[in-house]
Amino acid sequence: MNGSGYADGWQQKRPRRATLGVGLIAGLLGIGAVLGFASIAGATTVPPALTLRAEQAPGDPQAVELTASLVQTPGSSVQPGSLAGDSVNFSVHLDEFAGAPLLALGSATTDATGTATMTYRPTWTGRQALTATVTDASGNTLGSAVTNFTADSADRPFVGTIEAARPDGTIGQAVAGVLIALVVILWVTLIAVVVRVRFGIAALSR
Amino acid sequence: MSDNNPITAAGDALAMGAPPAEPAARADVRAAAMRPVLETPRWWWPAVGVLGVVVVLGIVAWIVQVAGGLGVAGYNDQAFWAVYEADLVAFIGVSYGGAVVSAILRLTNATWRAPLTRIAEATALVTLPVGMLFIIPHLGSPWRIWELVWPPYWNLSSPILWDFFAVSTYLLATAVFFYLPLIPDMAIARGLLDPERPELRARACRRLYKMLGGNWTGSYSQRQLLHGAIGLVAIMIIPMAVSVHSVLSFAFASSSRAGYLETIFPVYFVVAALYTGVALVVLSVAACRRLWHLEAFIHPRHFVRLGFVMLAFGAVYLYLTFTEYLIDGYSGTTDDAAWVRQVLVGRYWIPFWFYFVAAGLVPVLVMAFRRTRTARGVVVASGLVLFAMWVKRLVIVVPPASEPLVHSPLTATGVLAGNWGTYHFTWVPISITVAATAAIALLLLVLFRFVPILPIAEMEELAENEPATAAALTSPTGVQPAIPFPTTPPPGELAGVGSGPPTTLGGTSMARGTDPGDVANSGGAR
Repeated sequence: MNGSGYADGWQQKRPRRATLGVGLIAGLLGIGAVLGFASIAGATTVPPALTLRAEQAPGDPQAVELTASLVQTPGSSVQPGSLAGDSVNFSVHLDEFAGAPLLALGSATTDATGTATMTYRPTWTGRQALTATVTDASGNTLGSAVTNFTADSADRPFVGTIEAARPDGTIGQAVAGVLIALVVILWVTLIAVVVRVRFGIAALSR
Repeated sequence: MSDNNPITAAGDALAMGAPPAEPAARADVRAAAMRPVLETPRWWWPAVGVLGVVVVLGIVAWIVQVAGGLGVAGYNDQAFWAVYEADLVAFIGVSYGGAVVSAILRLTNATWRAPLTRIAEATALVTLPVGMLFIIPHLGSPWRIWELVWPPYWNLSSPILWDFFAVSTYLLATAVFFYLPLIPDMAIARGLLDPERPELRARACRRLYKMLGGNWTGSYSQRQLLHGAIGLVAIMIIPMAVSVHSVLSFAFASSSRAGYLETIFPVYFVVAALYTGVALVVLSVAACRRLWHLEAFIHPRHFVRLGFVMLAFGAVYLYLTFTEYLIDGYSGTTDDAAWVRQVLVGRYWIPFWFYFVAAGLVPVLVMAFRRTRTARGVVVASGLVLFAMWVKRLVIVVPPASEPLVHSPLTATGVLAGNWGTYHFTWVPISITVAATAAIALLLLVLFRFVPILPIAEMEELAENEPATAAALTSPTGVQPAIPFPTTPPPGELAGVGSGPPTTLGGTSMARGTDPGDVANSGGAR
């Protein structure tokens, strides 16, 4: 029996087989990695870029024309002509609240050229930070853009018929006048009561 | 003191029918009414000192706020209304109870009102200006307050301007309503003062009584004139009170904020004002009764009756609260439902349910059982009502103010950040609120150093006209006397009130009518 001879033979053969196995696995992994990276690189979606412009609306000094445009970027998988139909939400930053939150102004849908517009009427004057955010049909955010605009005039919220009915409007002025007259009448009546009592008591004491 | 006094005619009248040994029967209404004026109890100066220090601390807190801004009071951009608005509503509200309750009882000729009216009206008179002052810390910049009400700076669209008109008009009405019944008492009190006493306060009182009392003689014609005037003002003051607190609610109800834009608010505020106003009257009457020993005139029955009035207003208020929350909670508007949820089971559930128990259930339970339906029970319930209703005002003010209402499509919830604002109490508003409370007590203590605490003429007149009721009023048991009151005013010109033998007040014996101008006390009204 040559047990030791068997053992020696096994010990001599094993390193060679292990080296081949490891090399084979490493090679397969390397090939897989190369193919995987190539696959990922080919499938990466480059979203279209979003730009936002805010300009004074022609013929209306209180209105601001907001234009959000989607443009193709190199590497984008979005095909020309497929920029239409995305929803763009317009917002303005507020300074009054902590964290500069956004106040929704409205939304518009992009046309074939990737452009969405809306008219915004600022309710206060001064610098305003405007934001546009585009989302696809699934609601995924594709991109956003920010621009600044300085409003020289503001759209007062109650101008027109609503304001006319308020106390500082035409009808309201009459209401306010009547109410003030009522207050005056009450004051005069109360003072007159006291005066009458005082003089009446004096007269009746004689 | 009354033990040294001979029983006056008024005392006789009030004592008619009651057993002679009863303390109430011997009580002298004039002595009791003038006790705060003529005597200085040992507790008076320490009480004034302590209350004065508390008021000064409140003023210091306000100065700190003026220097540091509203932020030191816990205000922030997500809790822009808080304690001061609640204080404004609560303090002005409690002032209504005194005047309105007095006016209603006068117009309905409820005879049991007599010992309470002066205290009730005085409470209204001192509470209203204190409540008005809260507009100053609430608005923040005191040097620009005048622009609120001064043309062309004023804004006719602003409810706060109409608040000013309404509250100042009501203050005038309250002052007139306090003054008119005081005229005959001033004449009577002038006769009760020692004309020789040289102290500054005695001289000030004599001058004050002469100025305010005028030439009152107590003749029938004068009394008719005065009754007519008081009746007119009593009629005027009830709708004025309703309108004033309605206008106060406009500051909320005319806004566009969920939780404030409530058409139920005007009536809601009026009922709350009456509810807390009656509670304050109970506490004021109880304190005056205890401090100046008016037990002979103010009986537990008075508290129980006021307790029933308070209970009625409390029940209406509870129902209106239910109505408001029901409609807002089920209206389908997200913003309204959100704050209702926060109040009932959310972050504000503790203050709301505290109100519900303390100002909703407790008064009902106190008045429901004979065992608790006592003066002490009503006083405890009133104290709870006042504090719990102040908390309820905070529940009205803070949750809607802290609700995030700026919507955005950019967030999952549709509401920006989704975070509710938080108001944190600081020592500044607490100090100012406590100081205002102390100021009311302080002003009452000072006021009753100068004016009779009981309506002398009214009580004596009541004794003349309705002896049975008057005697029953003086009887702690409330049992009507068996002996009818003998006095019948002569036809034509009637006798003036306050006739009677010499009395001793303030340690000095004097004969009534020693002052030639004081015919009221000479027994001769003609």
